[in-house]
Amino acid sequence: MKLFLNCLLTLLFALLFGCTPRQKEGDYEKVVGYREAILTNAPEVPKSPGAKYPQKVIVKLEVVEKVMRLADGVDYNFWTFGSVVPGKFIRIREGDEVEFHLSNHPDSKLPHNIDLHAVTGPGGGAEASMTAPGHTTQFSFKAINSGLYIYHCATAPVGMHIANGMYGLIFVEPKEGLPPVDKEFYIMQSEFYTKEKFGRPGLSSFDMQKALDEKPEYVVFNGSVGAAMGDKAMKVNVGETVRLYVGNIGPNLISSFHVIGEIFDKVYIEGGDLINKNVQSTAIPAGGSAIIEFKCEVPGSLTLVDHSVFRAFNKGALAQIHVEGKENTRVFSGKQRDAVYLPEGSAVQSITDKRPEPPMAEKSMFERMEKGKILYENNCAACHQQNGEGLAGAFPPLAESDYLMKREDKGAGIVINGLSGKITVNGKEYDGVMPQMQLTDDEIASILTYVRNSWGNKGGLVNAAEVKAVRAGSK
Amino acid sequence: MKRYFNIYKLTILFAFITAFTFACNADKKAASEETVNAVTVNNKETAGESLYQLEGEWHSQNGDTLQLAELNGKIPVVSMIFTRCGFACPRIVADIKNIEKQIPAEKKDSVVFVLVSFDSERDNPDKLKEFATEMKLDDKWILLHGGEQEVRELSMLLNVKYKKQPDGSFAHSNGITLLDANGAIAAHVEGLGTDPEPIVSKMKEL
Amino acid sequence: MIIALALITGPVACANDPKSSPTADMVKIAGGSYEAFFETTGDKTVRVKPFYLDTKAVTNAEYLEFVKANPKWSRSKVTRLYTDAGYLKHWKGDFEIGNPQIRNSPVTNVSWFAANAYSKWKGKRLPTMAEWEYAGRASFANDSRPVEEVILDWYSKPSQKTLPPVGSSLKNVLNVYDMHGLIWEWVSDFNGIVMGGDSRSNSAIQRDLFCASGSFSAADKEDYAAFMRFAFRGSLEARYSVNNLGFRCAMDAN
Repeated sequence: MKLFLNCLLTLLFALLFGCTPRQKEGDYEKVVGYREAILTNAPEVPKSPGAKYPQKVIVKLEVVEKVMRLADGVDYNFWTFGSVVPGKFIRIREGDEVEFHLSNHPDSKLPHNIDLHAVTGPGGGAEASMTAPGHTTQFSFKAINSGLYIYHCATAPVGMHIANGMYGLIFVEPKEGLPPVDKEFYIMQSEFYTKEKFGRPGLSSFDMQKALDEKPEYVVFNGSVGAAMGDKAMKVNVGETVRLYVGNIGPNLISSFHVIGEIFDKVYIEGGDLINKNVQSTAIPAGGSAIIEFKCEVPGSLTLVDHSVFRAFNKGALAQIHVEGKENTRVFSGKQRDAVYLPEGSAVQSITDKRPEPPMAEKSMFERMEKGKILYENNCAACHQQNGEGLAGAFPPLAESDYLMKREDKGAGIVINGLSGKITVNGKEYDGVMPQMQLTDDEIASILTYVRNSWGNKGGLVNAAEVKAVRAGSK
Repeated sequence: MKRYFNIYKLTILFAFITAFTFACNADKKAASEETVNAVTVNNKETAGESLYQLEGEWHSQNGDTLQLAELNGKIPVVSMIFTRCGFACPRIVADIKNIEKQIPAEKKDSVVFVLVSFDSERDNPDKLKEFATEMKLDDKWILLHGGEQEVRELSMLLNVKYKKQPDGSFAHSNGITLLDANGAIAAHVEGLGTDPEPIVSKMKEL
Repeated sequence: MIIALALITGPVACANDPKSSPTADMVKIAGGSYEAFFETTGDKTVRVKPFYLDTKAVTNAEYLEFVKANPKWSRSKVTRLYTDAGYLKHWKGDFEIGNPQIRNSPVTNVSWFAANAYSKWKGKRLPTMAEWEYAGRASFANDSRPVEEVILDWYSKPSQKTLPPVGSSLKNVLNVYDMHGLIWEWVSDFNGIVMGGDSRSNSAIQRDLFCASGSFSAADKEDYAAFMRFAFRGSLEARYSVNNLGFRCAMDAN
């Protein structure tokens, strides 16, 4: 402790009265020179500093409270480290002496601080970094232990600061380094507790009761639903080795981290030194981490999930790695498809749970198209695809669909009741199951309006009253 | 108008420098804007930061009425206490006595020790005199009583936290502050039994 | 001194005998007690004597009057001892607010010393933490939601570019406006938070740092809004100025 204080003092003196790097030997490796840390946004990971000796490292992080996307059409007033959720990835080397500058944006409503689990010292730096809006604080620490560590805000009420997005990872690379790999990615799992139901468009707000009950509406990778899906998926080539730096902040749930279609060759358990091999799923505690390595042998999409699986398919805990390259049928035949792992949409497939219906007000064509697009993308696009063309053999198209467009109920009955069994769409046969969608009449009217007036369809406005009538008729 | 605009720009620039300049390229002005714990603060022109700008009257243990500005030219070592304090305050006095032993010879005449009481209600000059006798404090020690408002303002300047308890005692943080000849803060240590080195070494420079 | 200044500046309501007469924009708060949020073991009851409180926070226009009467508190003259570089940074000039829309918005970017000096000039004082917390506990006059919920809603929304005028948010049953949902407010003894910035360690207060008996713990672990106020106070120094931190004045009732 005394030594820590001395180090701190020496560093501060050096800071104020000159720039000469510190020459102290003591119990530790000599510190030579200094550098400014390069920070990255998920899923990027900074390159290894590659230094042969410890350095003084300047880390500058800015706290910003800002509204960003939580899901399509859903916004949230996030509290962030570096204007992103999760916060910037910090990479240093064992023995480095970090001079940490925390700035709190003048427009912030609250003070913030930082507790880095990589710090040996009181509060992980929390008290030393308590920063009022429009101020900057500074403290220093020596990275004594290597490993992958969480950092988070620890200002009271701590749970709320974490629940609103204030966390990230700091990797203290062992002095001997890690074996080289081809690609490295940064993945962070977290929960959001909103008053509004999953996917409900608009500005969502924090719900303390749900947080206390540990019942999140959202469980996501990298700060929002679909942050690393589709176009934003991580990309690797066949034959490459991948290292994932995975953190889980919670704030409540333990992650059953799994990658659909891969076996982890190596797991650095809990982000430490102990390595386990040939692992399917690894538990990552709230406030903990794991480093995961595997080689991508065959092309296709790897889906990262929390295998506590309702979180994945109903709350957003999905991410993807696209592996590109040549098929290797000896490793994998290619017949099986991963479509069964695609999200079935946000709507809970419930039979009994009745929601009270809000009073209905009919909307304009324009409004219905706008709302419908968002609702479609959240609830339908996973199967029917964003372009409405479905997936051949599995999910029928909606675009220019004779089956849909000729229906008298305009499709409302399908959405309300679900559909199973053989059907023929545009001359092709499909035999699948579409679940009931738990959506309000108003929402269904918007979705149908959007579907019936997109991708070449010309179906006109669908009113909520029509949907209501279909629902009444189908009871 | 134009002049104000320029000042405004300067202020913004200054704020910018303060907020974003660190380490090697921090200029001296910016450094003096920051609060640095347990580290001596650079001083050249410190009159603008003088605590003696604080208005209000104080009473010493000898019954004198004085203003802080009368300490001008001295080198005060300041702390805040209350005489009924059973635990921390006697230790703070001991910590200051420890500093007293280390005063460089050439500064012996100018250094004074100032104890300001939190207890406006009960620590009148007589009570302070009693405390001084009990703790064997000589005439280098100035014990001060002030009104609630004055004490609160001074605590803000010294960054001392305190709160009156329902039983009339005070919960408070413990700090020792060194002022320069202008009355600006030159050094500060926090806590009980803390190594007074920053204060002693700064004293030599003043 | 106060009388003279009041005459020069004109419309100051307390011109006659500022020590004893509250202004029309104040309301009397009957005394009472509440359970302390953070307190030492033993008696957790905080007793508050009757006092007067401004119904609304001090506005930019009102603060401008103060600066005009006391030029040493203008932006270019003010001492760095009492303010940091952000003091009144949203104003256009020393004696000019600029944006006419914010004349009746609460003044912010003022330090504790500035708020304290303004209050003295008005013949008033800043409310104590106990007084502020007591008045802030009252439920809202026209909104049945619990106080706590309204506050948390405020944090869920981003900061406004320009602050709305005083009196534009909720009024409570004591006829006091904007206690929650507009700005943070200075209190006279904000530095009475005898704990560190890390709330998680407050169960065992460090005797070496603080002279206080017993341990501190939160009375209501779910009162997130109170946690936030305490955290905010703990992050401040008296010369700081902050974008959404202003003040209102109080006065003894006797």
